[in-house]
Amino acid sequence: MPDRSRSQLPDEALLEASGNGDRQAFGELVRRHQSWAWGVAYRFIGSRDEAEDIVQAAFIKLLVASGRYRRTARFKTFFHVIISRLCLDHAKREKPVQADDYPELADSSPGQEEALMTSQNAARVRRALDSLPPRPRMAVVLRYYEGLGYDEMAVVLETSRKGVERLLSRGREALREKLGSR
Amino acid sequence: MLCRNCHTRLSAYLDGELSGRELWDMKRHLDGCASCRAHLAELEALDAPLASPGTPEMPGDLEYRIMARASREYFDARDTSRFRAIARRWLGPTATASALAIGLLLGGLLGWNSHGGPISEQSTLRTENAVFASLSAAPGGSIEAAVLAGFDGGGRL
Repeated sequence: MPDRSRSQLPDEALLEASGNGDRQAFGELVRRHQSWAWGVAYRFIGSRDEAEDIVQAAFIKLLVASGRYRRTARFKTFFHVIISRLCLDHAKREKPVQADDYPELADSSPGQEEALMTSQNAARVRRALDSLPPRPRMAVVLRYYEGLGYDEMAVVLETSRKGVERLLSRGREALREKLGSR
Repeated sequence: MLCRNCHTRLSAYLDGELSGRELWDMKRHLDGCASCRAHLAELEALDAPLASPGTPEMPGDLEYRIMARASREYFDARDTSRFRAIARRWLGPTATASALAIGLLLGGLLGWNSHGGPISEQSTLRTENAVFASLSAAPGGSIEAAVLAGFDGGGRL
């Protein structure tokens, strides 16, 4: 199958083809989805190396699970489930990861000061996220950075809408304590 | 609505997930409660810091590493497995044909002698007994030994 036709195929068809041994179909899936997958993993874990391991493992699991995939589920939701499970399993197994350090800028010229504040703020957010228990942390990542609605989050986190609301509420209250002005 | 109930539903209100009576109750409470309005404002203020840039760039060779791992752990293993299945399918009938040929040859050796025709029934019986005795002699029984036993038992060609 030529590359042009693969780039026009929907994700669901590419996944089926990948499961049947079509490497180029799988390559197209990787190109389309590696960026946001990386974003979810990194924002949850906070370490580049760990995030990359998660993303690689997620794509392999996607291949292995392709035989079980049913087109009744959206591909992205299916992949979100895989990534979330890997991140949550990782959090259960590992001690809290030392998040990547954000570079402190020595130069205090006006433009650099703004960059320094941005960097410090990013480090503060990172620490706040890392302080959350895994499931509320994943709920915050899915809501704030992936923009998922409650129904989709319920599928991804394998809970109910009420469960999603509770997780987000816990996450937000904890972040409010860490990042709030008081 | 009490403040503690309001606090538990503020997340859903913030995300536009309330509707109908729940939404009406929430708005009515917020209109009359400065404390809960302040609480809501603090939750809304999380948007800015959480949205600030903080995700390092994705590794440039991530795609390459994913594809390399997929080749090793899935595609190559799958191709090897399929090759073995195909090989078994082709060798299976071949092995069966070989066994059949040996069987026919053995049958020919047992039923005929070289001097013109089928041998006597008694001679056949002696030969068959010799062949079966050889085949059943464990662990030494073999087709070769059975053929030789056929000669020894009078199954002359």
